[in-house]
Amino acid sequence: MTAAPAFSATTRPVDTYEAAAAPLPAIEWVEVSAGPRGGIGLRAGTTVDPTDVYLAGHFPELTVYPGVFTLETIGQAVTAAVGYCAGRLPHLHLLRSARFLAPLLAGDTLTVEASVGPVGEDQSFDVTARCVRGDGVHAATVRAVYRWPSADGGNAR
Amino acid sequence: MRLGHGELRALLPHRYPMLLLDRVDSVEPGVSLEAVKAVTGCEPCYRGIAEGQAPDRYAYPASLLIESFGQGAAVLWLLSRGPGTTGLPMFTAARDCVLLRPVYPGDVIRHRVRLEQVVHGAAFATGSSWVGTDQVAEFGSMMAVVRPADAVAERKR
Amino acid sequence: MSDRDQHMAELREIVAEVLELEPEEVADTADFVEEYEADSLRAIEILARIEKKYKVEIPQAELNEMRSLKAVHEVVARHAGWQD
Repeated sequence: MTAAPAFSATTRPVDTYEAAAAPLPAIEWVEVSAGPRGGIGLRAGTTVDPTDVYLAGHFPELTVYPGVFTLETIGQAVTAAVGYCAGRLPHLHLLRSARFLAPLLAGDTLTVEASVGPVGEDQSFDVTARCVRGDGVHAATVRAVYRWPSADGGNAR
Repeated sequence: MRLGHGELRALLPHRYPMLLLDRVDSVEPGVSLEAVKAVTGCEPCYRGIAEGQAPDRYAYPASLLIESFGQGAAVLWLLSRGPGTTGLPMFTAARDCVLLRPVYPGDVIRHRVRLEQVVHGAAFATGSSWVGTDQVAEFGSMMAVVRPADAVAERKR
Repeated sequence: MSDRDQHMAELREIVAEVLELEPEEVADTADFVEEYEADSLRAIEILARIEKKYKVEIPQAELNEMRSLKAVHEVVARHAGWQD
């Protein structure tokens, strides 16, 4: 077992979107700060764009940012913040709990504040995120485990 | 009972490219359902990948896999609610969802969904997703509510 | 263990799991909303688990009452016919 990898420098949001399959560019900006025990803190944000191709279908009569896109925003923010490990991007492995408390509509901003890591020996790390809508309303809370998949491409335990 | 794509469109408010089920192969309303989602490279989530990325970057986004399962749960619930019920099914909470291995274009996902409980307008579903004989995800608990569209659109303070 | 102690222990476990706390962190009279940042989704989740475990139906109007472990016990006892 090699030593647990450390978090690397941040990548730009646009690079994160272009690096892997994703329904939409789900972050406009990311800020990273040092956290306790080698972990990091991150802040990231996006704005709900009703002309996005996926959002046009969710729903045609009313744009609502789906809960899973809040997960997408958190995932892209985590990817941008922690970077690659042996050329691989971190994947969502375990969603311990997610709660979506308030709808995000066209033009709403979403701000994610998350604590990330530290990284375990199995290349996994915890992410605890609190999401706030532009008007200050608590929109979501997510607790998850991300990991860099092993070299065989699997994401198995 | 089997439901084709047209019947799914009649049940769900989601539309292209956010309608993430192709067919329901079997359903016992209010109890369980088996739904099919074929992943193709034509889906818009593959449009933004930069040229020359590694094969693992084409993994189907976790956010869309979870949404697809959730739509299976929504169909199961909506069928048991009977005709004349309208509104937007909103995915409000999840617990203990594990993503076991990546899914790629060409894979056909089968969701096995069980409706655990319907309480005071909230539904709780559980289940798993499979590609062939490989389990790709386990869903401990997914919670949804149905909200009238005008109630979602109304900005609460 | 008395019936009441047994029921309180079971309810404490349900509440702790939903609120993502350790059972010993859930005080008998602590207000879920003020002390543990609970919200309406959590309340419905607690209610759903109780209805499933005890095979009892609790009217939605009681949700507002169920703001602490002690209050939850009182509501469930009333509807489940517990003589605690």
